[in-house]
Amino acid sequence: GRLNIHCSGLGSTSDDTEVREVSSRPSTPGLSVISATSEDRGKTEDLRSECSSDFGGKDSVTSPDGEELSHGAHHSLASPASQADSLLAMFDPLSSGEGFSTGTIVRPKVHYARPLHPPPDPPIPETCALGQEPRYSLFTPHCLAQAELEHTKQRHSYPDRLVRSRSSDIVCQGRRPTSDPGLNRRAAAEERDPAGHFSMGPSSSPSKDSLKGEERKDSDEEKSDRNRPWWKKRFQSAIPKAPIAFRKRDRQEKDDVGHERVPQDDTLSRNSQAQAAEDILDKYRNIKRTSPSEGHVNVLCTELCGEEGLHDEALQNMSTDDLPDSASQTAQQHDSSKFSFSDAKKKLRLALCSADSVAFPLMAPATTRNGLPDHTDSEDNEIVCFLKVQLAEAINLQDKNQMAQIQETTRCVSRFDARTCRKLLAAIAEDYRKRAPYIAYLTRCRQGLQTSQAHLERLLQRVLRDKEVANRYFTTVCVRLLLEHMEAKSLDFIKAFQGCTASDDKTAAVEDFLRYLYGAMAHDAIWQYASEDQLQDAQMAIERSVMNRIFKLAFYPNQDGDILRDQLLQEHIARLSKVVTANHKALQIPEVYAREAPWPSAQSEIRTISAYKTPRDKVQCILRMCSTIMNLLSLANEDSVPGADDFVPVLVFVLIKANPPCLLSTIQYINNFYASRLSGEECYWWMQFTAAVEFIKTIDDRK
Amino acid sequence: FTMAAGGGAGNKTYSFKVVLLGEGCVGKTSLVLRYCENKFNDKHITTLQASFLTKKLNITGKRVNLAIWDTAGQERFHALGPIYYRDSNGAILVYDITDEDSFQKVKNWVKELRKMLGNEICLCIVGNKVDLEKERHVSVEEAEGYAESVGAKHYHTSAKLNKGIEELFLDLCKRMMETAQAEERAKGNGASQSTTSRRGVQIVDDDPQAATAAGGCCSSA
Repeated sequence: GRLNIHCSGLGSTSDDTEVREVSSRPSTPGLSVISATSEDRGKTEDLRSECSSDFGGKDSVTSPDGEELSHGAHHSLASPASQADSLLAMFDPLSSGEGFSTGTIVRPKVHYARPLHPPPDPPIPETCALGQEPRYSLFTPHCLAQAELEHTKQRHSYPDRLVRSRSSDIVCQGRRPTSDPGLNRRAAAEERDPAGHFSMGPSSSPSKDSLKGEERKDSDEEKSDRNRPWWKKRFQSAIPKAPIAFRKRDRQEKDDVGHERVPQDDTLSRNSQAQAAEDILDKYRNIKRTSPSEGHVNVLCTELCGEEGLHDEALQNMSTDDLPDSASQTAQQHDSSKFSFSDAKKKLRLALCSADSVAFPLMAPATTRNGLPDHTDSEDNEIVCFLKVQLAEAINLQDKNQMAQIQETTRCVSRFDARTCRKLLAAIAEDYRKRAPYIAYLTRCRQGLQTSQAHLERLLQRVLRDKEVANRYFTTVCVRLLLEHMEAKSLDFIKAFQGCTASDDKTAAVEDFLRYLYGAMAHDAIWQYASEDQLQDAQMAIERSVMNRIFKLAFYPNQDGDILRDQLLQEHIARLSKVVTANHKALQIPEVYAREAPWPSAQSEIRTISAYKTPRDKVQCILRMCSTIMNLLSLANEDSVPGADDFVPVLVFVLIKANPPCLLSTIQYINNFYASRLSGEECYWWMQFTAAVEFIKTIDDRK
Repeated sequence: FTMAAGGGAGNKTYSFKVVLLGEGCVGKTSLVLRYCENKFNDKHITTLQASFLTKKLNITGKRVNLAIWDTAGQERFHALGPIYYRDSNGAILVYDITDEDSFQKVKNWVKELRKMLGNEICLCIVGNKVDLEKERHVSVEEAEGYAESVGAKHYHTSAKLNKGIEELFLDLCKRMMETAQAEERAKGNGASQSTTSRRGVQIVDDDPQAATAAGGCCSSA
């Protein structure tokens, strides 16, 4: 026979494997082992129908669990005992997960889709197999624990947990992660798969019974006696070997050899488990028969009761008013007490997850040691004290929601005696610990996602940059088309420009012509729908084109005189560059910066200045050189931020060493055609540049 | 908005250029960093440079954009001064209270600024490092007396302790606004009169008395 586990995720089912094929172990009729293969999804429908036919629809298990579940199922299900456990385990989360765990559902799902992170959850099945104890303590709690852990995950506390878990809890931990996602999805699964839902009732009820049996030492039932030693033994024996099994399983998981690994991992525990599993299965079948039609609410109740039954007889003394109306007819007094235990645990976990985890450790000792004298009457236990503190804070913050929650939690918890409270805390702590691998997994996933996100952002930057370049080029081409139509006008302008003698006239002529061209562009058909940025690019392209054509005239208004002057300065600088060092008396660059001399990147920036024809581009080039120098200076000196005192000598040094051509003409050109447009920071760096050139003129070039 | 255009009336945004003058090591950079970033010798300063910093202010409902130009304070760069302070609305002349020479340097700057820019520029003389009061070498009376004599205002600051800096800049801004408004009114009255007066060269004698006679606009604020 086969068991079909149908996993339905909330909204994300499509990308993950939903269905695991369960291969049955020969020795256990009706039970099956799940092999998780992503290709199986297509078979979902088939399997489901198969299951229902085999078991009359009652044996098919609908589990919200996704991939994780399947992984777990892999190993452990090979042995009958483990099968039973895993089955039970699957149900547990369902019952407890309802309502509060849904919030966290989505996240695990997302992670699974990532190829980088092979499902970390393989351990799950094994743990299920190992014993019932882990199951109940883990599953019911961890719905709560999940929320709590999710919450605390971001805090410092969890790495600690991780470490701990690695050493001792590996076996159990593994399971935890797997079951959680399942829990979350449970609701969806039920709605989607009525058949599965239907079958759940039966399957869960056995677990309850068996658990109860375990808990009650005095019980007459043989089962309970048998069960208890069984799970205990199993659990303990499993711990030492767990890490190995874990690793092994991991490897196998990667190979996707679901069935083969089962025997290896579970051989130790199988024998001891087998008996118990059979018992459980028997129970399971019986109950199934009796209550197949009960709704899932009913299942939930019985499930919870079953699980919590382990915790104590003491619970039976508790009041039953927590028991929901929908509780099964079979639920007895002790069931209700168990329910109230799990209910209290759930509420307490919620309260804990909203507590300030930084203050938490300080709080607990304070309450116990010094007490809160006013509040600590004999009836109050530690938890209640803690909750009172939380309540006080909630009241202080006027968080009504929180207040109601904490008050309700206090009400539930205050009915417990000290022993039960300890158990409650122990159960929560256990849940917390066991969830560590899952948290670690989520952390890794998050890291992976963030890395991917950073990568994508970088890619986006590249694409945007490419887009920018392409747009610019496109604009330039369009401008060329525009200017071709205005060739006559351009020629007129050039002629007029040649006629100008005063530099003011030349500046005005250029500005007028540019303005005319901008206006023409604005009226041109192809520019009607251009964006602001495109128009700006186009204006720059027009300016480049125009300045290119008049460059010689504009750059050297006095022709040979300017050229000669530039040459003189260049020769002067060439002589200087032979004698000037970073500690030259005219510069005296501090040692801390001089180590970075001669700032080649800044030099190469300024050397390109001749390649730019428009004054704007030349200024931009100068700005780039200045910011390069500033960046290098701030790299060199971590202790302080470089100011003008640090910058000016270095700028002078860089200019001397780079010795860009036509410095004086460049300054004249920019002053003539760009000075009025200089503003803000541009203006400042331009000032520094001209000041440095002035200064260079005055440096004595003799040794 | 151009730097030099001192601003105007109404809702117009004022843009002021303030030049920082003073010998090296008097703490010009620290002063401006403290003002603009509220940082002092902080390892986590995000600013890569403190040569050119801007600050936006809202003074009595008027928006002010302050551009603070740091300058090289070493004596060998003194000749570049005119390039630095050209078109400045205000000048902050910083000296180190533990360093008599740096105060002398400030005096030189004041003379030069008054000579080149006349009363168009608001002068602030700033005695920095008052946290080192014990090592003070420039007496408070001397500094304040000198400032008053040249129509400048004097401030005691400590970039380290963040003392007096906010007041310094706020005060300076108010004075620059007044100057700009006065200039605006002058423009309204007598056309281009203000520009000529600004570019005009004033002969200022070394004698503080003469400077006081010439000044007054700034000290009144």
